[in-house]
Amino acid sequence: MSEERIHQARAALARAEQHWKVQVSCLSGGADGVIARAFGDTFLGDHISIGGLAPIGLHEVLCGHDDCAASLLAWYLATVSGPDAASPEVPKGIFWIRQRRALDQGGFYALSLPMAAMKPEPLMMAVDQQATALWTCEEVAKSGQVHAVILETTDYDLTTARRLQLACESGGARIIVLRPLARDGRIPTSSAWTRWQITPVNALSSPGPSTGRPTGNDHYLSLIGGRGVRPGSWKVKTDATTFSLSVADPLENRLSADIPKDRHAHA
Amino acid sequence: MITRSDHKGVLVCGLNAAAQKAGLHGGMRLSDARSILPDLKDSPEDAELCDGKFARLVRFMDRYSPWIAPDRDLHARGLHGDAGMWLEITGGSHLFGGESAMIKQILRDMKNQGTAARAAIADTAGAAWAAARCHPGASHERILSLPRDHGVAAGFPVSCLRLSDDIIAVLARLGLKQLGDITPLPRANITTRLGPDVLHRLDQFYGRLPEHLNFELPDAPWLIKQSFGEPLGSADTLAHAIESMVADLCAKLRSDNLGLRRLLVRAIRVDGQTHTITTTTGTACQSESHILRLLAEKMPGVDTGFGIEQVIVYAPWVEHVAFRQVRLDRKNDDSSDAIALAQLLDRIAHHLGPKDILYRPAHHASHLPERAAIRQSPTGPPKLARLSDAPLPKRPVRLIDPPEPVDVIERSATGAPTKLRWRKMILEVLRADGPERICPEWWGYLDRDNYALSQMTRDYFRICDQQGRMIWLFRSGHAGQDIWSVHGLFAG
Repeated sequence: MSEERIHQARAALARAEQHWKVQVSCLSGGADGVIARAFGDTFLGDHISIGGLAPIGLHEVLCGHDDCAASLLAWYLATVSGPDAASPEVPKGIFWIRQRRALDQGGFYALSLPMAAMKPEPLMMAVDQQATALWTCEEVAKSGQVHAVILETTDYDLTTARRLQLACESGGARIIVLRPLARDGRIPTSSAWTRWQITPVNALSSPGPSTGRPTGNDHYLSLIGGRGVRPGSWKVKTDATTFSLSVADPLENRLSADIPKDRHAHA
Repeated sequence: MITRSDHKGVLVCGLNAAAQKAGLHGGMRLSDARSILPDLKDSPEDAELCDGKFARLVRFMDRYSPWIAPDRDLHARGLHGDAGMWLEITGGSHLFGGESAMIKQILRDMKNQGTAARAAIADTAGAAWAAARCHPGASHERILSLPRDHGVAAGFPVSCLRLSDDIIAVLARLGLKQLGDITPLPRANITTRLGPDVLHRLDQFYGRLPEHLNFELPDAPWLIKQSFGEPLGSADTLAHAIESMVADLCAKLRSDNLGLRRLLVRAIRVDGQTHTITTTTGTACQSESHILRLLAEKMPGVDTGFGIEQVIVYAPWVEHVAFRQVRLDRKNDDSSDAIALAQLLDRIAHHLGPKDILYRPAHHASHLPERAAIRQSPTGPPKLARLSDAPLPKRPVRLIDPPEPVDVIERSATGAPTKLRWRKMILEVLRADGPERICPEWWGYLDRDNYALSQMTRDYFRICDQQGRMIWLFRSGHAGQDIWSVHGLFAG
């Protein structure tokens, strides 16, 4: 009897280990992890190919300085597929939920999306209450009828983050949350798979040609935390016309000194 | 007394019994009424209140028959302070103990609702209308069976034929005051002297011509009604009853390849109060599980009180369901993405608040950014999300609508801002691109001259501030009195 139990326990452990390996292979911070895959050789091409981003799960984009670049990054993260992901026969769309006044730089302007992003047409929603936004996000993610949900909301607690994570796993969807930073710059607690931040490069430090057209598309993209993630930062160029990012200068771990010391505890 | 003001002055349109006894009548002037009764108290008519009350009465009366036709002509005239409705009770009076008992019950219920009413039963709608107003019998004995009660009908005044005031005046001048005075006359003479309306109404009265009534319910309603001998006292039993009735309704709809778009569930309590739940779906729906899930959100609001004695499930809006492929195992493919997405949108739409919106973005042919992006229903007929023949210039990722005013402190020689104050922040403009001139659509302002249109013209600039943000702002207004506003932000 005891041997049988031990055998069952070993089998359960093997299954768990196998499951853990699959996840870690996607998101580990090592040489084969998300950082190397996402911002390695592929990243140095014209566009980012985040092959390591978990297709199912909660991801956060923290908004501090530039909500527009954060919106672009959220759309990019929501639409990017892994290198091995087979495209579904009928592509599923994006569901964008906006809680009014969560971010203070206006609402997402759908006509800024490139033509290709309109197939299938995204679903948009604007609500007043955070409870409605969170309920809708959970319901949509659980339904499995959309590829990803982008949620603009105010601060929420760890329990809510875990509920959203469970909804993702239940419906096989990806949730990208646009979450404002605290006023003191503190990074809020969360259980998201990955957490990103994008900030514009200070124009004073790189004024560019004085007579040229304004660029304003140089940003620092930071992977600031997550599960099994090694933080890093890269200088990227955003292209709002095609809603894409491209690497300008890889500066891995540049922000390691800027990120709060309790980062690992939160992550 | 209730009054109504129109071009003729203030007219009387509602009276209580005391005023009627004093000789007042609807349609007379308020000054004339005051000369008869100086202590008259009057208040202006509230049309919405009257309509709502009457609609509730119509809904209330559907316990006696699903076929209810409000008297719209009378309601439109409305100066006599009364309203009416017809109930088609053919074959149903025995359920209430006979015709006389049914009239008694109706009058009692109307009195409990706070409404003074007269009721009558007759073979035709016109005869019922006349008998309710002119029958000399007691209140519960106004039953007119025409072959038998021809003598009673002959004593009705001609006004019971629902004729215009002019025709009634002519008839009175001719000494034709009762139906018995008209019926012996030659028909050709009546038509020649008085027009076709008199004979038309007379034939409808005696059933020689049909009368079409506008019933509140359609001709083939998807309606299931269930009465309970023992009132339902708990919400669980009520939910169970509704569940079985909705399942029956969906089975009927499936057999006719129809799907419902709107469903009414009405619970009638023993004390006469009704509670109605309305649910709407984005597409034609045959799935009872989905409908019950939508209803479940609103069921907690139902107060069963002393018990529910009757439940009505009614689908006033049904549509044909497009053909769908059926799986080889004979199960309907309800899990297809389109149906599941439509059901998801239904659930979300039922959960939204009054200010919350759910939409698909669409492109409208307009130069103005806030008008170019419109919202379309997620389940409605699709529009193009982007007009392919209208290439857009670079547009911001986030649009501030309405635009926020901004103070321009310094400007360059070209007119582009170099320093400005926005949200209490001083922004140093490092680079500026523009202007991009956007004019209002001239076809929408044909009544305005060029000078007026020039004030609405906007010159947009894309500026990059010291923080690296790309801001989209525009200048409008008169030359020299520019108004600057921030309209959006770019991501690069």
